[in-house]
Amino acid sequence: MRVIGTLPEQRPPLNAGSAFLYTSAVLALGLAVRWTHLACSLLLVGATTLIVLAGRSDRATAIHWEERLLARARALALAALASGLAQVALQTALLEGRTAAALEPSAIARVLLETQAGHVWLVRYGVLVLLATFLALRLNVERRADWRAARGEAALLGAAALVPIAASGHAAAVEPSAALATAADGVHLLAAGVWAGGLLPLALLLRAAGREEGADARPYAVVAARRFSRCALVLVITLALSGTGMAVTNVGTVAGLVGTTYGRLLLAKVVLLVPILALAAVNRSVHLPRLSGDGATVGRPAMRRLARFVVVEGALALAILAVVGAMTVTPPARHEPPVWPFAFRLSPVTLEGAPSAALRALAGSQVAVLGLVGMATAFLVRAWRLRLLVGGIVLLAAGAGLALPPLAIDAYPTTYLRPAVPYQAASIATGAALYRTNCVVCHGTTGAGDGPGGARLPRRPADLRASHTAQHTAGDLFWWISHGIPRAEMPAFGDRLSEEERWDLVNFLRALSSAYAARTLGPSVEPERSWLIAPDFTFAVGPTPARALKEYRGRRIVLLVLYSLPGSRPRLAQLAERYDILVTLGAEVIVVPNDAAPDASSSPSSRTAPPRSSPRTASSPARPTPSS
Amino acid sequence: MIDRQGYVRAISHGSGVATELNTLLAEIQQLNEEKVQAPAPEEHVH
Repeated sequence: MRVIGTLPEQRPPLNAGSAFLYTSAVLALGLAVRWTHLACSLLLVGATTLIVLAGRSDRATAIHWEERLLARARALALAALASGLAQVALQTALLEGRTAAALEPSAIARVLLETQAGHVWLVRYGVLVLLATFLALRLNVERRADWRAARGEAALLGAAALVPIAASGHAAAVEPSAALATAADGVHLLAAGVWAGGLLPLALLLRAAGREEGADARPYAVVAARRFSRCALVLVITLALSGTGMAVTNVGTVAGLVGTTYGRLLLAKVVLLVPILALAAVNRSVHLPRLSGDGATVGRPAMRRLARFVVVEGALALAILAVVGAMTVTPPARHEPPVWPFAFRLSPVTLEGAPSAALRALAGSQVAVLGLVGMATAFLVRAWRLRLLVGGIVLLAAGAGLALPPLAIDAYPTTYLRPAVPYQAASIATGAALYRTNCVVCHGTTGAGDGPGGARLPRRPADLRASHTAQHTAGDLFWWISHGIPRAEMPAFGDRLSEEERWDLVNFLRALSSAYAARTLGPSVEPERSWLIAPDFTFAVGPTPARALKEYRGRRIVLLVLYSLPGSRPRLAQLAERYDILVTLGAEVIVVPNDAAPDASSSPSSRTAPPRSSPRTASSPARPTPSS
Repeated sequence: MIDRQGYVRAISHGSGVATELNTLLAEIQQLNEEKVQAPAPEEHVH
């Protein structure tokens, strides 16, 4: 089993001594240490790659900038080493559940040698020590080839110390494609290092060259800024693509994005990224072209302004790293129950049977698409750019205003909650019993909403068999059962039924609705139309261990035969006779007595099935859906 | 009849001898030949 050291679910049970570790002060310290380490690692990559990107110069100001940058890189490497030590000590205390473990060599050794995060740390720390040593050496780089080798090696070591972080984060725990997710995360880190990490070093150069006494390095700074800008475009696209891929993997849904801590941190990251990209666009389109203008009146002022803008970009990038640090210690949204924050959600099911609403949504969507086309065109052509952009935004807003309201449907905090109880026959059966006890009086025995208690209500109870039950999420049903529906005078069952019982009831309602919809299914298979989920159930064949229907997924087609004796005997005999052919065609036969009585299940197989190849005759339990 | 992805694809009522067992075999064969297969349903219903 792979062990990832950073996941909070690996926290040991708290005791009085370890509770201290989870105080906000210690958690803030942990975040500060993570941020410092990440920022140092990124800035190291940014500084060393920018030196390579800018190239060698013989101008005094440029040489001075390079020396200053290397001095800062040495300090950054030392800070990365120190924060790395603090990080592993803190991680050890958290994993061991003891504050004192942070300083115990044996405990630290356990974390380093027995967890994947520890292995990654060892590799990275080794590379960081190499980098720090390499940067500390006073190398003779007078020959161009020596300069390239020395600066290139520093950049490579910086990248080698940064990229493996991906193997100790959430990406390494993604199943089943951990390697792909880790690679995407690694690319994301490297792109962030070269781009975001290079911003502040670039600002240093621009500021130095923007001074009157730094005029000798201005051509060098202009070339460096242009090269960096060209690279930045590619890097931002790489960041966007890899970031989107990771967001899909770790968040997955809109509910995960807006309803979990991880998703909201990701949104905060994107919000911080927007002004960075806006500043980058201004720099690229306004300041960069002016750098080569007349020195005193255009070039130098533009360079100073560019330096200021780049500093702001760099500061925002460092703020993003704080968010990233928090994300690394937060469980990914995909593994957290989302709490939907809005009173509505958008769903196309509202359009079923409502042609005017469907028409409005269709018209609105087309207007919005037109707006998007206008906006895209604005980025591609120079003429009429502003008008196209504004017109596109107006059309997009108008289209959304037209199309979205008909799609709105009530939503609740639990709307996208994953049911705590799987959709299984046992849960459905429990739910059916709870329904008989608690719901029949109003909703009726069949769920049609015709119970005697319903007649006194201001509104007829819902027909639970109707398709709209299937159109609501399990979380919607759970909310109504837990909190009631005040306007319909439906009582709340949150204090009468346990959470598990309420999910059982939800599973029963889903089965009831599915069974009603299943009336349209006949004996013939409709090609490529899979929509009715078979609830899972376990069954036993004689003395063999219990098996589950789910075990046949991906392997066999299942003929589930519900029988009663003696009426079904000829049918069972026929199936037993052709059992070999059915198996050859990839099917398995599971026969379940309608009354689930053990004596009813044993007789048909013993009489009709061949000795070594017989249908799976279940002795318990029984029915997959209440209506089947 | 439940397909390999765990979806109910056909329901036949009646307890007597199936006169159309060959039809049943043909339906199974049809499922075997399906190219587009729905993703397996999760344990939880959404």
